[in-house]
Amino acid sequence: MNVGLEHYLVVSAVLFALGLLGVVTRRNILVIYMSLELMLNAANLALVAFSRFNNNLDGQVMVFFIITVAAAEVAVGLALIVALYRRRQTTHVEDLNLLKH
Amino acid sequence: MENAQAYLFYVFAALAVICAIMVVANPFSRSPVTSAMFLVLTMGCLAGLFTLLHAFFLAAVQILVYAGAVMVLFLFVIMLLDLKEEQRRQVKSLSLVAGLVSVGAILAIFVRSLIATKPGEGALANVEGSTSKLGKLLFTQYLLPFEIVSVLLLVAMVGVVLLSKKDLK
Amino acid sequence: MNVLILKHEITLLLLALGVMLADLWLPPERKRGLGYLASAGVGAILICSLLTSVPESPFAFRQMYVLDGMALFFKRFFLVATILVLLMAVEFSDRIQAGISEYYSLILFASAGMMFAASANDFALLFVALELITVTFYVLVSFQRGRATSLEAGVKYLIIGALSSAFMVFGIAFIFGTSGSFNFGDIAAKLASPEAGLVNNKLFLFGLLFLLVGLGFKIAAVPFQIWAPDVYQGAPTPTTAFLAVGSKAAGMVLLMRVLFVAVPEVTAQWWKLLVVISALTILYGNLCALPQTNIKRLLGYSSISHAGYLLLGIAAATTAGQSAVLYYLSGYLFTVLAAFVVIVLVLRDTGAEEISSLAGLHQRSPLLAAAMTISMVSLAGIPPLAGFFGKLLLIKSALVVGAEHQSFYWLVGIAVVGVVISLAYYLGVVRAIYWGGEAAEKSAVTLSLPATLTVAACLVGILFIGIYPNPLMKAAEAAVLSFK
Repeated sequence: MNVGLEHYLVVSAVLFALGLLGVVTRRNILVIYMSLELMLNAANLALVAFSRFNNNLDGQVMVFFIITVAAAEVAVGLALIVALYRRRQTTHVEDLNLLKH
Repeated sequence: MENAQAYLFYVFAALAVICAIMVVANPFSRSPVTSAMFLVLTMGCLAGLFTLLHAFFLAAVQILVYAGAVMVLFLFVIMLLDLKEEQRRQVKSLSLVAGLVSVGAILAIFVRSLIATKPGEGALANVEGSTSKLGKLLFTQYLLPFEIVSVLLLVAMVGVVLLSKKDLK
Repeated sequence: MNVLILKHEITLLLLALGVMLADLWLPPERKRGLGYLASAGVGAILICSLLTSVPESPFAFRQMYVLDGMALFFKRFFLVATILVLLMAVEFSDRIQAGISEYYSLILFASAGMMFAASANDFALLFVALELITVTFYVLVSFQRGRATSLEAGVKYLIIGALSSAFMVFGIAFIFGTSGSFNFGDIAAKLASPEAGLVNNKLFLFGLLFLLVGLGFKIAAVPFQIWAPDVYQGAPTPTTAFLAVGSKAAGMVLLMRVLFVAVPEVTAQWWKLLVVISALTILYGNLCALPQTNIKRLLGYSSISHAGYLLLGIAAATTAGQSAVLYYLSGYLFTVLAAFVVIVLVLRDTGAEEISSLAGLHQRSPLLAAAMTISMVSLAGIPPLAGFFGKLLLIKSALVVGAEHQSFYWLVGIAVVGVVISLAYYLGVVRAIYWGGEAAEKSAVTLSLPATLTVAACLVGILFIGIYPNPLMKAAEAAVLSFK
């Protein structure tokens, strides 16, 4: 019962796919945004696993950057979603229909 | 010892996947709060996996930043907006099919390339993600991206203040 | 290692901070003028960059950052774009309710991100620079918080931006895992050595595919173009202009660096994919632009089609194709900015952005009518303007490759069909100006001196690049040599 790199990569890919599924199927902007975080986390897991099995710490430094950037992105994104809610009283993607020809 | 680690991997991995399913496709509740709570659990399981991969610093950061800060922010916004009526709307079958097809395609390509490559062969794992080693890399080789990230955080701060200021003077 | 190699970026960031700080002490009525100060500062940096030549050792930070001819070309490009966008933002300032100084400084921050992107020789720097651009644009797109359309565009850009980042990061993870490095040079070296077998490593190609998906979102190539029309339409006009020119060019320079520096062997195998995407992008952009009535949305679709033409040059993967891409982008810069400046100036009072509201513009302001006409004619690719030579060079480079790969002839055919389709909607705008019936509003458009100069600068750029293509062609060819 040996756990190798492949095991971690499979978990990472499954998490990424689930996140993508959430982005495509869910209709609440907040839940979509959470699914996007899930996708980023999947990438982090792959990076850490590669870093461990390639004996190369660079991957972990990258994860550090990704986590920081994701936190900044979430802050801006949630501020934007709150601003939209104040204006339109909705967080539903199908209500975003002002921009059509 | 080896076996214990393998058991822990399966426990964390299974929990992470189950919680992720509950985030995106919870059969019992479509409330964003449940999604957020399960996402916190997923983050926790990922921190466990990071520990198994000897990335101790990142495991701590994962808990502190993701579970501690990012998800609290999410929950805070969900409570602030008081979203109730969202739960009634149903998932459209078209987007469900599109989602399943794209996800299936990605997984199929991934599994095929994984089988063709076998990346784990001959890999010896002995790297330790300790704080001091990471810190050294961060402040020598990766100094430039590090500084750019600090600019990015400043931009995010300015942006959040601008977007959530009450009065448009 | 010489820190001075970063002098352009550092001064630009200091300028951005200075603008933000100056806001504290300036009285509200004088904040608008900060834009002139900022663009003058960027102008000084541009002059400094023109005096800079490629240093002997172009690398810094262990080959993470590179200042070669290509980087220098794009830095100048971004600086010119920033100057014009800042001047445009000054004219737009009456429509931004709060925080005009922050608007200027965010434009400068985004510009700094593009400058870093131009020099990225490592996936860590690529990711961080691209995120700096993207996060800044989230705020810039939704800056008119009072308008629901601006917020809606912001949320759409947010979701798509985060999605593309997720794809890119996942791709980078697998590229790193299989090649063992983030550095473009190291990856290229590993690809070139046959015993590593990276060219046929499926997992590596999987990662590369995801990375290209992420970059495809940034340049709005089909099938990742869905966001562009909505965001272009809803964003404040100077933001739209910067998105069309700066963000797209940043995506292009990164795409070229990845394809030609990091993975040239794979690019040689994947040309078919690039050809198909290029053809689809040209057709989609041009066909969808036909029925549009909103001028900004029209330019959104048009920018998709231009991404297609640019991809044509990248698919050719020759020196001629690459330099044609640089030439085309430079012409596109002046042409599109001219169009957006006119939109900012003319549609100031009405708030409408319909093409029909341009009617009778030649009576209200002959200069602006001429500028819009020249811009549209150049976008369509009619000689002797910038857009014509750009398309000519791209098609020429594709025809040369066509001798080897037949499918490039088809691609050239599709490009020509695209140009013919595009004539219909570009000339439709011109018709609306001169023969669109009576103007709803007859008052002459008053232009401030800086606004006139901005329009004039764009026009001079279009005409000069079109009539004297040689200097720019030389510069583009010299820049491309750094890929050798």
